[in-house]
Amino acid sequence: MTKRNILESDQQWQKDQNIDHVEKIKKKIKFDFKIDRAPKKDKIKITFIGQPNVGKSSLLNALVGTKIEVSNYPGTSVEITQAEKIMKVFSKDKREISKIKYIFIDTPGIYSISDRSPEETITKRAIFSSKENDIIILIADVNALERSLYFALQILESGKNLILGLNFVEDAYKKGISVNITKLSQILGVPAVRFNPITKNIKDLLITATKRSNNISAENFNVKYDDHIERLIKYASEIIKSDLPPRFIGVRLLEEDPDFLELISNEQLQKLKEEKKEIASEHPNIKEEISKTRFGTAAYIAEKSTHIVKIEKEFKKKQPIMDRVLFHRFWGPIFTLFFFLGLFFVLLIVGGEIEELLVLLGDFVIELIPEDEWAIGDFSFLNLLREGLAGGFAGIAIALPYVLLFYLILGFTEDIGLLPRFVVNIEKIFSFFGLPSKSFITMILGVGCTVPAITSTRIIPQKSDRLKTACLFAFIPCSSRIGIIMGVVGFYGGFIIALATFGTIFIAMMIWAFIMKRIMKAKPDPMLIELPAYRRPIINNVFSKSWLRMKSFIYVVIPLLIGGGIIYSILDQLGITALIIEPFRPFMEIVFNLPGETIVPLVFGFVQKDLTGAMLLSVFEIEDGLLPLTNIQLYTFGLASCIGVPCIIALGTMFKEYGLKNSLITLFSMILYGTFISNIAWRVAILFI
Amino acid sequence: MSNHVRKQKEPKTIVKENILRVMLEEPSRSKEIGKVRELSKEFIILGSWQIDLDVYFMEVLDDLQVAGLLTINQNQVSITKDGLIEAANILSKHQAIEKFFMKDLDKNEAHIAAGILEHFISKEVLENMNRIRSLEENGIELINFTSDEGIITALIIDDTQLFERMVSMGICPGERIKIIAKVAAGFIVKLKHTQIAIDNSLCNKILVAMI
Repeated sequence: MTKRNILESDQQWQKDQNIDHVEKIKKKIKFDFKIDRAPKKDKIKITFIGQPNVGKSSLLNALVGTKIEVSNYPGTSVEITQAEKIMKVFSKDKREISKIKYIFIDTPGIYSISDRSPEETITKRAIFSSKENDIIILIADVNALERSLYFALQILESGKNLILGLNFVEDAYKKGISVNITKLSQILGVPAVRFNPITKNIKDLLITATKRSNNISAENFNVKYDDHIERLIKYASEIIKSDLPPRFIGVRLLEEDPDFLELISNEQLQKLKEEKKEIASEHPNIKEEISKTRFGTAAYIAEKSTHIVKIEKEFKKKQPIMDRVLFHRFWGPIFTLFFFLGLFFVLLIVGGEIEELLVLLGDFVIELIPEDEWAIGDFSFLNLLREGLAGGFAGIAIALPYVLLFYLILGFTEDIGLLPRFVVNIEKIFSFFGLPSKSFITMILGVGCTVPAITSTRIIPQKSDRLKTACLFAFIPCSSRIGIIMGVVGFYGGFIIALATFGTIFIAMMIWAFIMKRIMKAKPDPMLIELPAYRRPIINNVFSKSWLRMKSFIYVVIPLLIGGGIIYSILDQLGITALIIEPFRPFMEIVFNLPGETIVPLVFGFVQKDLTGAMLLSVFEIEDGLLPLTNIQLYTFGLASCIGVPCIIALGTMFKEYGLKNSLITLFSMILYGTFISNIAWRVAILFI
Repeated sequence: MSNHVRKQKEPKTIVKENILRVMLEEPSRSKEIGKVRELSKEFIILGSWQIDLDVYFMEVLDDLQVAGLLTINQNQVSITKDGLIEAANILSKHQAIEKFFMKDLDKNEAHIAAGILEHFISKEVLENMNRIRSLEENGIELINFTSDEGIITALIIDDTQLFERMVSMGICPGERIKIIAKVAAGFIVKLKHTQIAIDNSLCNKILVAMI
């Protein structure tokens, strides 16, 4: 350990580097550096890593503004977020010497680098693709320092340019934990810097990172394993040549990291196995021993560098009332159920009201377009505009009330820390259907829009589980489908019929989930969820997160809705839509007991789900008033249009995530299953009415 | 990092402790000096310490006499009451260590290990060792655990990735664990400052002992 490293986190270090001070200009996020010497580089890449829920995203938010998703649910960010910020560097006499472009990279939270979930692969890639001078900031939660240190020790083994960022220092202090930051960085041989994204106390971290990009640490702390294992590590480290430190390669090979194992030949692997066998009597499970030793070392360092006053008190502290309810065997599940039922009804009622207003506004705008001008024969271009606008307005009418409202409520639940607790309560039910508890989160997202929900299935570790969950989106009514059920079925048939439709879809989903459990025998991962402490939600975070989730809806779904409206208008005006009615009439009558005309909204609904209602009206050539459909027919129509891959955009997303084969299988099996359910349902319904 | 490794004892101390052990095993409580030297040598060879007994023997014998643990009468060495107590202490330490190692090693190996370690391990460490051992023996599955607070003694998990995941979340042998609630799917537990929900199937594999 060099002396410079030891001092780096201290004021001494700042003196050494001639840093005058860091100055804020204009907004709270703009920093100017005042230093004597310009940094050697004009571009600094900083990657944030850490366990879930330690404040990576909030730090990034504090650094670059409210463009980044932050959540209080372990593992909601599944992608790497990148943000850039240019900051000025000043000399002491206020002369600008250079500008530095900072590239910040936020990675999904992971617990260690040797797991198997997609998040871990993404983060691992981000860590190992970083160049020599790139900085990695490991964010540690001081409340559970040994856990973050476990991860830090792994990264230190890899020889990367690490800085330890300590979050929740004030929080921990209130709990009676104080950290000796100097000692911590002394032991680890890398700078440790405290920060607080909420009070925007982040400049020290940024200064350290800037300085650190110029000098690479000489020597990192290494965990010392058992002598026999050390000897094996030395042996294994000589197998592959790479730019990574040999010792790291040795450890990874002994930990059976598939990424490293695939780099060595079978022969070498065999030899390594033989070497392992030699010490098998004393060390039967080397991998396990390595993790134990590493955790032991982490705990040792944490103990050496923290002073805990009131651990007894912490253990004796009463649970919050909320937890006593949520973890009650009986009231927990009941509360969870009522929460989501409540959420659903709030969406229906409040969302419905706002939607009506927006529809009125849309109608008003569309009315403004004069009729029958620019027409060539029967074909009117203004009609295209009208339909396109109608599509756009339908999108907005759904996006604003349902999707935004839903994501806002979800965001609050997540930020407070309720979501993982709900997951615990539904875990039993989900495991009954062979689903991992994490799929619950994605399914809730699906109530807003299926497109972001399909993307979010990436948080589920096993591929078979992910596919199982994605299939269920065929049943979870997204806001558009809720629109059909409430706007068409409910409007013309009454609330009871709409409720019956929802109920039937729900039962169909449960049957499907059960069938899937039987077909795919793979067991989901056992529940192992960290429950974060309750936090007061940061309004800014909630809004920025909701916006991020809405973004795909607004940028992808709404333009496609407008396009769909225009295409529909062209096909309709050319009389093509009417062409498919006759060939399908017998099919529709026999299978669905529906008039042949309804095939149009069913088929074109796939392109333009939100216009299903309008299409239904136009195909019967009525403006307003009664549809020539009975209640049972409305119910069947609701089912037929709602069970299945909802729209072409969702299909495209599925294709992107799961490949052509899987998405086509899902599409066709869902069409068949939806047809089957609708058929059975109207036959049963006839018996009752 | 090296300050937590105990300093090696002086060879003189090792010789001293060995002489006392020899005297304890002698029923008549007194012995010829030559015999004591011979037997002590055996002990040291047994402990595989490369200490030349002859260099220290007479000096140590004098020290012991001054300390009132032994009396030397002409050629006969006899042990005093204080000496017996001291020797019994060493022996009990030896036996405790031997017992500790009997779990993994055969009797002879455990004896040798104890012969070495008895000179180095303090009473407190020994007590801790025994405590850990008794904890390990008393560990029961979390699912059957009746008290609401305990110490994790072992994780019986074959899947090493899952094992590492649990360890990196803080579920590690030696950690204190508090059961907060039992829900349908498993347990809600508290470890230091974090709460974790653990599946029933995993609770079967976590052994916990009462503190």
